Amino acid sequence: MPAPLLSIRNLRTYFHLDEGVLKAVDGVNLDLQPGQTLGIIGESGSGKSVMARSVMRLVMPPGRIAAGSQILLSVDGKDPLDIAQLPFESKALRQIRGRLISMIFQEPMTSLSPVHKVGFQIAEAALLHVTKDRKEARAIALDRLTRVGIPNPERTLEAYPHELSGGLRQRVMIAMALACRPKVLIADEPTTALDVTVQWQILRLMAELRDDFGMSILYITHDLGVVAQIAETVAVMYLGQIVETADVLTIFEHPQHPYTQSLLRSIPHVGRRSRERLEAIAGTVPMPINLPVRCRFADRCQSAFSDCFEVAPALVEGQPGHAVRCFLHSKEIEQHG
Amino acid sequence: MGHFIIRRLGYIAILLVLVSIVSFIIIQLPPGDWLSAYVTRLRVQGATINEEIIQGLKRQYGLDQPPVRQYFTWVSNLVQGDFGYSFSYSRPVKDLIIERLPATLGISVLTILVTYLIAIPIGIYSATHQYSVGDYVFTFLGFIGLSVPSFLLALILMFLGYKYFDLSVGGLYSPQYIGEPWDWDKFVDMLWHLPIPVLIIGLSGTTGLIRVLRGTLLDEIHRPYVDTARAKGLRERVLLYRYPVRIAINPLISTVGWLLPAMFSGQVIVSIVLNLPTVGPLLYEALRAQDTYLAGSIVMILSLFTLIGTLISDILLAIVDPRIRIEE
Ligand SMILES: Nc1ncnc2c1ncn2[C@@H]1O[C@H](COP(=O)(O)OP(=O)(O)OP(=O)(O)O)[C@@H](O)[C@H]1O
Ligand SMILES: [Mg+2]
Repeated sequence: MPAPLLSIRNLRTYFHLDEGVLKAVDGVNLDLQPGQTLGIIGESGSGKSVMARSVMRLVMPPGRIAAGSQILLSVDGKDPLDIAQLPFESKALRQIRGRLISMIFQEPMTSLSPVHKVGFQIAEAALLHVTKDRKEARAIALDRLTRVGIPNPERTLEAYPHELSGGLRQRVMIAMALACRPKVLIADEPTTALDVTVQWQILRLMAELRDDFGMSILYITHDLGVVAQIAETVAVMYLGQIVETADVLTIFEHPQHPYTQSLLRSIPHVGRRSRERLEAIAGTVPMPINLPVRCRFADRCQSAFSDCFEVAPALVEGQPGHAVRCFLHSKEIEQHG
Repeated sequence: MGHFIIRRLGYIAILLVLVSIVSFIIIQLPPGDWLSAYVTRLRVQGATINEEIIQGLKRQYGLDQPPVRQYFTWVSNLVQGDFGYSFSYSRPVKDLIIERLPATLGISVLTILVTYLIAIPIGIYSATHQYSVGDYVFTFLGFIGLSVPSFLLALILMFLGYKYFDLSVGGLYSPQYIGEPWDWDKFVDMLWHLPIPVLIIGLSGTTGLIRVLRGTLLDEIHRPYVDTARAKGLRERVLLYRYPVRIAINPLISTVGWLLPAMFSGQVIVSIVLNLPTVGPLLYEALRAQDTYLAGSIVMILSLFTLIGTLISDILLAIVDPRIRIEE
């Protein structure tokens, strides 16, 4: 296997609140290979966004990336750079943002500046990293708008975001993210705010662009159907931890963690009789403050037994490429230190 | 845009007619009128005034006409640029106002400029350094500025200026320059007299503006588009001014037109205390003396400024914020 492009090691992002320490991301390991799409899936509040924002260093106080966390980026066989160690206002960090790693956000309405023209907002990224020439930056903006399939790209350059539909705005966001041909694209639920047909168009577009631009995608969603469409590998997140990771087929065919299994049961199938109810997962995701050391899913798990309430299971790779954090599959206990 | 402006000018004309009616009625409303007050005053001083003289005066000032006639005479003269005659000053209203308008406008515009110059940097600082010592200090000063009445502040500053800076306080220039033609020395002397009135008149507006800017900017700083800009690799400082500050300042810049009338009314008391030759004290005196034409004309001019200011604001707002469309 080639060296991973992005390697997240023991990432812990904590919010230091008055009520206590909120462990939004608590010991995540992930590898993203060149050209690969990794899907991150989990319910609302499981820490997906905080993890993605940590990679871009967009977490603001009271949030902090804990010491010992590593976010290693290795481009073109160079020595890996630890993003977690870079000072917040450093040039090195700015050189990564937008040039090597780009991000698309969930809300295409509010993620674009309402008072700047679309063309300016895309060209700005190019002006920062790849050219000093305004004409050239504009040409790049025009090219990217064309690539993301916007009808009438010339005119869209001069448009303001509020003049565009939600789907078009998200295409603009993608165009902006692609301005400098990044190696990694982080997409945080980019289609959630869109209606279903537009959602599929955007997904297909992203898959095409990934191949054209030769980039890797970290795709965050709470929708398993979306993951099935775009990802090769899937990581299931629950309360700041990864509970299961495998290639997409294995996740769908042989899910092992009870949480993954119930996520799968909660998606609608074609042909399911309408009287048959969708199975929602009982309970809600708690706030990850002052969690006891034990399996985090135990309270909501139908197969939980005594061990689950006493010690925390470790993430164990049972079969190659398939890791599960559950005592049903391994008795290994997580070492806390 | 052109249609919009023309239509708005039409509204302004209609509103001015309404304002003229209302102000004329209100000024006439208190019992008695200027003439009877004048006659009483003369009689108290021992003068003998017979009915004939009174009738003569009434005719002279048009007071023997029914109010409706008086109103129409006034308005039709106004349109022709004749503002009428001031009873109490025995001079044309136009002369009285023109004498005081430059100082009034000058102080107002200067105050607005100073207000922005102080409020915008402090507002940005407070929002970007929320809960810092500096933020608390400005918040504290702001509350004082909002809660201390301006006349009190005027008295305090006059005292301090007199005691420690040897300033002849009050007025716009030192006594020896009153009535003198303008020259460099008089101008410099005036510059020395400006800071106190400008500070006092601008204070509550400045603190208000700081509050507003701090609040909006705090909201804007956490909007998703700021993260988008940051994720592009922009420097924090560039990002701050290009996005959230730009958006938070828009409403302040575009509402500048609304400040002008606020300045006029805000400076009445201060002008009286500081003895400034502005329109404010003139209006106050005119209202007290029921000097109908003088008071009415000032009210009309202030209304005109207000309406034009609002129009300018609306146009500016449409220019700086592309989301606002002016319907044709
Ligand atoms: N700025 C913040 N301050 C305090 N707590 C936060 C902050 N941002 C996130 N959290 C907390 O971190 C946890 C993880 O949040 P996160 O937004 O990453 O969830 P998510 O998986 O992205 O959910 P969603 O699907 O709703 O986007 C939540 O408990 C949330 O309350
Ligand atoms: Mg999220």
